[in-house]
Amino acid sequence: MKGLAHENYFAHPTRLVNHHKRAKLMNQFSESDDLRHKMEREKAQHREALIDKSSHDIAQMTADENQALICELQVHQIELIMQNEELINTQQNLRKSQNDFERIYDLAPIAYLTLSQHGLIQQANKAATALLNQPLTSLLSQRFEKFIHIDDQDAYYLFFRSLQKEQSSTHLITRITVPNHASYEPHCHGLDFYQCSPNECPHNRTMTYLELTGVIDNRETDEPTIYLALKNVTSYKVLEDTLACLNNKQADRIKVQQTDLIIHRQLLSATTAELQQSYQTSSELKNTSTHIFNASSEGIVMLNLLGVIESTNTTACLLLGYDEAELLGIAFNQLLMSPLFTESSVSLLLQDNQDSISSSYKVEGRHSNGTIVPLSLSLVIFTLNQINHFAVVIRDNSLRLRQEQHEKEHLAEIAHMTRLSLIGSMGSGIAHQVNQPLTAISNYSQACIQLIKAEQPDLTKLREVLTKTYEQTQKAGKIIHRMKDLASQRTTSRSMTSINALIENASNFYAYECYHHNINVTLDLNPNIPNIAIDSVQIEQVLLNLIKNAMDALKEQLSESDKSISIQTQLNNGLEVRIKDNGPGLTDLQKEKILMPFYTSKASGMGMGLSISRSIIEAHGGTIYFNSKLSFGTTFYFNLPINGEQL
Amino acid sequence: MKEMVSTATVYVVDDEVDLLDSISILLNTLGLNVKSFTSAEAFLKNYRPSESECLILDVMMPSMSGLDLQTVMLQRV
Repeated sequence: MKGLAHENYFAHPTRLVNHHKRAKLMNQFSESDDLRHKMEREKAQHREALIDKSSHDIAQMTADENQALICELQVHQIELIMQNEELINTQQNLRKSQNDFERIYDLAPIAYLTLSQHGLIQQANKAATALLNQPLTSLLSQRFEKFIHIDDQDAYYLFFRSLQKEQSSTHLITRITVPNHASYEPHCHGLDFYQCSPNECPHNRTMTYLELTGVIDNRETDEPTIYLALKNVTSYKVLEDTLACLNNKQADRIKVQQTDLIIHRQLLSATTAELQQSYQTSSELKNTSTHIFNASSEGIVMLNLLGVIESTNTTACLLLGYDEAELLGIAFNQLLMSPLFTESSVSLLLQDNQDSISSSYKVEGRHSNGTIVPLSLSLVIFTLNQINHFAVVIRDNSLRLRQEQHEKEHLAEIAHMTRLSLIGSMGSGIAHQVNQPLTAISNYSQACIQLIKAEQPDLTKLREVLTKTYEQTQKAGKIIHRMKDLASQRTTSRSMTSINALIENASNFYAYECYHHNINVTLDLNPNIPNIAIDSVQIEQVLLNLIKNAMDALKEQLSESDKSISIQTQLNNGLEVRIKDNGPGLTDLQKEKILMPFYTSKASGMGMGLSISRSIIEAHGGTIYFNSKLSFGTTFYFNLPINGEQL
Repeated sequence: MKEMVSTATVYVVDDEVDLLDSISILLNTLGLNVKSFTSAEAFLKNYRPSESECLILDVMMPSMSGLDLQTVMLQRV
């Protein structure tokens, strides 16, 4: 019976489990065993006493004694039968639990392997065959290490060694060469975050990872057996690898970003330094311009396009008698007697001022104390931050006007003085000019006498002649009046005057003298020249002076060659008057000094003529200049602006 | 002055219109036949010699003066 049980035990594949099971069963029956052993011991003694008897003894035994022996043998027989039944019963129980374990073993989700001490596979459950992807028959007697990934062979060897040595359970995580059929392909975040390419990913996601847990059992036999539990940890490992990979990539990226940040910070600090530098420069510039702005002797006001004051300098405040704070934000028009900035004037200014040429205005300003201040404004449009502004430069004309008035009076005095000397030189011309109407009057009056003498006077004719006489007296009177004007000390006054008429008059004064010196005077006057606002006496003085100079130059000529003066007017840079002679021309020294006061080449001259002429022309906003070439003659030009506004 | 009627012509040449006019009127009122010209050139152009005539010339005239005209007229005689 015992031998059968033993054989069964070895024949069964799940020896490990059965070993434990049997121990448990033994335990279950231990009490009845003790009792049985006790009885068996008593009976054995009794039996030995019987069995020790030889066959001879048995032959000599009595019938009673035989009867007793048979009876005892029968008891033993019954006893043995009972024991046998009991054993069969136990065997059935054992087989039943063995079947249970076989099912559990094969249905276990974790793969189990039984290895020999040399690492040969001796047994595998269904999970193990599935994991290693081979049928049980081909797995048996194969070395398990064959399945271990080549890189993990060393680790497996150490694991196996420590299992044999330590005699206790040991863990190892390893890879096997069997492909991962679960096709575990989680969506890797690296594809999104780091633009990883699935083809270039270094992680082999088809690899199977196992966690091996092993124990060794060498209690039963001399040859120890190794039991391995194989847990598939692929998904966990893949996740772990992916995480590690992502962490590395993130760390790399952070490093790159950090480097970028450092570079950016450096750039930023460089830019900041630059900005600070330029801010400093611009603030210095601003300070400088503010100083200039405030130190300007002329008022400066900045306006927006609506004519509202945005800033002013101190001079502007002084001119109008306000504090700067009072002026800011108010309309510039409020400071003027009549508004300058209207919608139409602003749009006109914007059109005309594209090239930021300043426009000038003469206006009357309203001082804070109520007085009216004559102002002249220069307007410039400028663009700041793509917005147009007006810069208004304000000049106090009351001061300027006073100065100008003073200068004019001064000029008038000197002009008068020089005019008197001019008149002195015009004596014969004046006489001739006055003489003509007087002669005409004389003739007309004699004619009248003749007409009256007639028996029947022709009154119509008489009236006609008397009218002509009257006209001649008027003409003579005008000449006298003009002489008086020239000779008198008078304040300047401007009126619209024909420059051509002035030239004709002036040339008439010298016509007589010119004739006597064989000088041919020609006039070439442009009839399109408009009347302009001038002081006619002063301009006539200039004309007389220039004609006289030309005449004097020609008088010096001894030769009998043609001497001529030509006077021309034309429209050129305003109005231009040209007085040309073909006299001896000027030396370089004369050219240099001729316009300066007190310079003269004439014995009787004061040297003031040209100097005062220049002052008069300049006071009229014009210019005077000359061209001269030795032995070819001299030409004097002067220009006067036609626009009366600008005078 | 006694008024006389004559066929003689007085030629007056003067560039000064007012003087020319006044002289012409005066001579006319005296009963003379007067022809007036404002320049020597105009006179020469229109002059037709006759039996008796008189020339009154202004000396000072532009281009041809009275003296020049006199010279021309003397040459023609």
